Amino acid sequence: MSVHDASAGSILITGGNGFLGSLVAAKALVESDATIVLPLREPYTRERVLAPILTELAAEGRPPRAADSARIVTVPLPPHEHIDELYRSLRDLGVRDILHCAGSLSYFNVRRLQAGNLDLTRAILSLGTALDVRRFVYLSTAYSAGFTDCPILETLHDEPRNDPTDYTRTKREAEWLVARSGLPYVVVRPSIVIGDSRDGRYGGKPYGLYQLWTAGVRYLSMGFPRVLHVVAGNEPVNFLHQDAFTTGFWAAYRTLPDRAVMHLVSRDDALPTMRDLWTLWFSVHGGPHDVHFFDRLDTVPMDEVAPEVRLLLDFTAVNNEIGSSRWNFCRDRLEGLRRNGLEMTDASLETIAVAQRRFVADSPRLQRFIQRYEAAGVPTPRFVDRTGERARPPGARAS
Amino acid sequence: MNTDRRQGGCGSTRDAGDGATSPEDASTLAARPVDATELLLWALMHKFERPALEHYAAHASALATAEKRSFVTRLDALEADEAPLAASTLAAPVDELLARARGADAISVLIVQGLVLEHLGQAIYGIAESTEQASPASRTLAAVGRAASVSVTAIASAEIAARVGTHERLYAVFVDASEEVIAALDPLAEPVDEVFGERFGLRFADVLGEFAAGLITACTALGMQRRKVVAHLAGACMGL
Repeated sequence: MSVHDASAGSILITGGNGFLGSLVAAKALVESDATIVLPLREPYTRERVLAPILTELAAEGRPPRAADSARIVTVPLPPHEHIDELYRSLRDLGVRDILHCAGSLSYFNVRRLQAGNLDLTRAILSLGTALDVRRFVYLSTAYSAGFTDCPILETLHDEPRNDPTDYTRTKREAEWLVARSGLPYVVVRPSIVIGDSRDGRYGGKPYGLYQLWTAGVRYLSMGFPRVLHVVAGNEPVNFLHQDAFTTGFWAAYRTLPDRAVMHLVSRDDALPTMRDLWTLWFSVHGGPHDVHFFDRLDTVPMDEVAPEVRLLLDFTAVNNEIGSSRWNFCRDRLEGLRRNGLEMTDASLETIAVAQRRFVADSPRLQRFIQRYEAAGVPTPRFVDRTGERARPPGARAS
Repeated sequence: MNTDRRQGGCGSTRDAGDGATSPEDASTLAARPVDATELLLWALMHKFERPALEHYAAHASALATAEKRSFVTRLDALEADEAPLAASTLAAPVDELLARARGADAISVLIVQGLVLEHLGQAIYGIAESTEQASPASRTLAAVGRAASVSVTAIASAEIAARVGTHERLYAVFVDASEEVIAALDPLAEPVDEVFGERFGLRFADVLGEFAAGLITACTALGMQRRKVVAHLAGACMGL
């Protein structure tokens, strides 16, 4: 199946200190004999970055060996304007492929996004050109298309009518930088990555679904109000298990032709809606008496909403907006890989329940909440669909 | 705790005037909170308020308002024992928060202390003022504290606009200056609920809700986009 031989030469992986980069590094240790080069900036140290990579290896049933650690070489990452200082050491290490997984996930901090997603990508591309790399894989996002009513193609995107965040805009712009670099590239666009489909383990920050769960734990920690207002749409939300991410990412790196763009997403068939996810959440500890579902934040009557729930609504607003929209991702590339033997587990309510159980088990705060709440909660709330209510004037909205 | 104080605008000029000029019952003023948990709260607020005033005096003197100075003097006079605070689960996260608030330049003092932490104080005072579980002495003190804080934030907003600017330009500075200190709030959650929740009705989720509402209002008044401010608060509060 492989059209790209990773056995010769070293692999430079940026973002090895982050969640997805560390998963890719662990996968590289398992799937290749190559030396893995990780550029790091302070405050990250070699030990701090190696720990989650080796933990991931162990979780995959491969106890860490000295040889694994020895295959990881860390180098100091200079500021992007001095990135060419890395050239000589990377050349001497025999770097032939670059897996560019680094980036800023800030939603609206334009300075950080410019530095992390655009300036750094430009600098790494320049390094790749100097090294004459055989392959440059750019880790983007499925949401780089911005909001659109059309099917989302596996091509570079034009400007959308609107972007959910500046993050999605800068990822789209970075894809164009990659495409215009002249390097033999592959762009991989994952959807929302969640815990492993088999045991639910998750080493990332509380983004996406984890933000919703974490906000629920933190801001409803003294119990539910009698009526809980939530923004939750009826569209399927595309989650991707981390095991599917690593398998799909590696397959894209090794097998796709140059200049390919791939949506690394789950099939739509079994994906849950935001409402399904709330129902699943209440199954852990019961819920309020009534749950009122809205499809947009500006239709929620804030004068009816308890202050702590306003905070929950506010803090999850951007993700709710994304999760409540229809994202029609084309999956031709991934389906092609699957026809050729790629095995991955699509996200479904059942597999997400595995991730949720792990999250609950790993959260002492939630355990205490459940203990406190079980006596007072009702097992199955009454769900009220308030989709389509008219938008409220700003004065009637949150704060 | 569901009473919505935002209707009147926690940071509004009307509130500032009301708080600063409201008649105070002399006998209540003379009274001193005696409950141990209430005294712990005032020891905690003293730990925030005294350095804040010193920061203002050193870096942004306009923020050292008469109301704030008078209030800190009252907290000084309480001489609340800090030992129970130091022995409580609050000690470590409070020290961390204070360490992150020690900006040594005028801009960070204006934003971190004059805007962010003052709004945190207003949220705490607002809840303490309205809870029936607190003594009249504490409720009165909380009202004075809130009015003093409002006197600071009104000036801080104007100073920030004059020195940094508004809208997108300010947003970038605000995000960088405030992230660390906002990120230090979450570790306070369980200690606050444990120490003050049952006895005092002061719960972290309520405090954070009031704090976020007040800060968002102040930021949008300075031209920052609401959804961006909310995303920043959410990211910082949730460790993103």
